[in-house]
Amino acid sequence: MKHISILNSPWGNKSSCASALKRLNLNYSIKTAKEALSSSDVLILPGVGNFKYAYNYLLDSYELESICRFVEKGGKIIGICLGMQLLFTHSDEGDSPGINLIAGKVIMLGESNKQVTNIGWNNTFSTTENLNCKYYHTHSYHCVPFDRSIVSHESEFKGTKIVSGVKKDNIIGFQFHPEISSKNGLSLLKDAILL
Amino acid sequence: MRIIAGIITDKVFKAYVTKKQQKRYYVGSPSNIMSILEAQGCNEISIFNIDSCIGNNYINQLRASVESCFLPLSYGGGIKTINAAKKLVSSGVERLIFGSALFNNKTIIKQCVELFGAQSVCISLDLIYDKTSSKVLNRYANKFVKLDETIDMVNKTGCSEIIVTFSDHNCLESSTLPINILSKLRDLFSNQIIIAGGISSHLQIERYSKLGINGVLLSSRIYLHRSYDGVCIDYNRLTL
Repeated sequence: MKHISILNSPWGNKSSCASALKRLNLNYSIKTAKEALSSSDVLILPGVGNFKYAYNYLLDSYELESICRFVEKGGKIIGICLGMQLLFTHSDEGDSPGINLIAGKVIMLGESNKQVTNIGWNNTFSTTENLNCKYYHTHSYHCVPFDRSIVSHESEFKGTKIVSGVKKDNIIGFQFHPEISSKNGLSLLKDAILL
Repeated sequence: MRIIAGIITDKVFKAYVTKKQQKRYYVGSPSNIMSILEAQGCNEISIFNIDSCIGNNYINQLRASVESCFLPLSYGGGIKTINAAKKLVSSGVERLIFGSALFNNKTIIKQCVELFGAQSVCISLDLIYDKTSSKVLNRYANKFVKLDETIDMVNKTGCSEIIVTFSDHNCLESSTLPINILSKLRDLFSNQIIIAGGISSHLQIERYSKLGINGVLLSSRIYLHRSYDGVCIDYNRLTL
């Protein structure tokens, strides 16, 4: 049975992720990336947080290095919301570099400099399964991968298509929160972990 | 349109409905209510702690409730320190709601925006419409602050959402709430606006939606309850 680690960090809704994995009857624990290296098959980077703060924490605690080694070793990484954004090269939130496992940038939502936030259950199109499903989004920044072929989910915000999910080999990212998107979300999370 | 179910709790994590923000009627365990709401297709849940006292027992019970409910959860009431905010987020709360902190503890709001991101911070406003002066004022303690000044303060915090409660419920119930107040609010604040209090019909929700309001928060309206009667939770009564 696969062992899943939820990254132990000062930000993030680790508890919601843990509850979701518990409901799915999966074997999980909350660990640092360093601990996950030797004991886990999947590492979840939880959401809810500020990009610059999270990146600096990963850097200062040497977790960044462990995350990269975890992926090199063939472990599966699943980033949720901020966790997905952290996988990218750079974010405008705090003008900070990211882990750079996916080439691309994280930019503000909306066209003007006025901050707007996408909150709610948005119709999300799965490009791989060719179907629509509603998932809960809450974010002020969104990801723009340079390679469009890795986009797995798309949704719309104020008439503009935004990337809601990516999949590149053993790296998966969801801009929305599958762990709090009721049955559909739990089912998606289970597939992402097990398939 | 986001339709948020509000659950009012006391400091020992029991749920109540309140009448005119005074008298409390016990309606059960928040954990059960959250499970029922999820089964009824609820969008989001907001928990308000009217005693504004967050003890370890409260946090533990909140965490236990999150374990059985897979919906977005926000929390408001008595968040005075960054440690309390961290405990709430790590127990599964996804958005923090601040009230009087806008006037007496802006630092905590800014700290939360920096730590958890703007999308995780919300400010609750208590507005009244003064008919004589035709002005909208925000009530904080016994003071009244003009709407423009209040929203200016909100914008400076960098938060992503405001919950607007009109204390003068008659204003909403009689549908006399001037459209220009909501339009003005929409102009002043570019992010998410949630209206709470006095929402009694689907038509009202539709009207807010047309005005660009992002969501409504229903609290006592989701419970069918009278003294000494059973409690029935019906999220869909107003939302379908």
